[in-house]
Amino acid sequence: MNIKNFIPIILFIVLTNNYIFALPKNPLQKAIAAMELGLFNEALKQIEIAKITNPKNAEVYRLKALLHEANGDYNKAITEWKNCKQNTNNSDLMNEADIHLKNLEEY
Amino acid sequence: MSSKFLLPIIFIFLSCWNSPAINTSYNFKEISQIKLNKIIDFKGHSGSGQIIEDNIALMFMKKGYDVSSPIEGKTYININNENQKSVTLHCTITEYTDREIIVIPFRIEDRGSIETTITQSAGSDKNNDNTIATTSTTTMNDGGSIHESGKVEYTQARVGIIIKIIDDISGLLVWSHSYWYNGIELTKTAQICAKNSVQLINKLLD
Repeated sequence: MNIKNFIPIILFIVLTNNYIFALPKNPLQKAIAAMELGLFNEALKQIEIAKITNPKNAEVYRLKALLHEANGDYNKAITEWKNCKQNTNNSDLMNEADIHLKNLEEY
Repeated sequence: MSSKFLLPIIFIFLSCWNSPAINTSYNFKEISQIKLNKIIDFKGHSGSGQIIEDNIALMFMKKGYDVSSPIEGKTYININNENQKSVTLHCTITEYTDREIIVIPFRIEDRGSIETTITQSAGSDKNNDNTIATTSTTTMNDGGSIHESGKVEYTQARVGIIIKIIDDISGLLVWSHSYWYNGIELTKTAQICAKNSVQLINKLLD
């Protein structure tokens, strides 16, 4: 049996595995992948799914607020920054939310 | 020092942390012109100084001021020709990046699933006129994983500036403020950073 005959099959398996494992697995990873491509609405859809298992994660609300800001939905961004503040004790994050809220409330 | 004195001092310090520093004896209403100095690029970001400079000039224009640039690299904001005082606005970029890494910790819950398959079949025997009906039920229980956690990273833009206003005649520093903003897009973040700083200066002049 010649090993050379199996090289294309082995290569196919390795490449397919690499491709499958490189794909984002959870909604948050999918959201970030979409955001990096500039697909902000798709990223927001994925964050909504991620929020089901992470309802108290302030960083998820923060990312959602930034996406709404980038989309120009300032009222929605205000809501998400307020949610972010409610779900954190981190003073830096609260300060960041205040800076954004102050800016957004002027629109 | 007893905590009776220490607590009010800490409170005053924290409440003033993000506020502009201002020379209260200076009359800002007497300013006739603001000279905007050339802004030096942030290290490794060629053109960043020009972007902030243009955004500041644009925001002053949006506020209704006359902006002129008779000499390259010098921008003048004309406020009131009847006034005497002129000041220079110095801006230093403290942060200018679109590669600030943010980490989000997350958890995934796989609660499993229950799948039930019901199969029904009907047939008749050769020696029997009656029809025989057979029903089988298969139930599959997937317990799922209790929970899985991890973290994801993404990059965001962050722009920070320090603004100083110096009186041209006395050389006195009359106003100073530091400001930062973050967002997904660098250009928009730089624009908001400039806008909010100009807004504070506008409040002084009104």
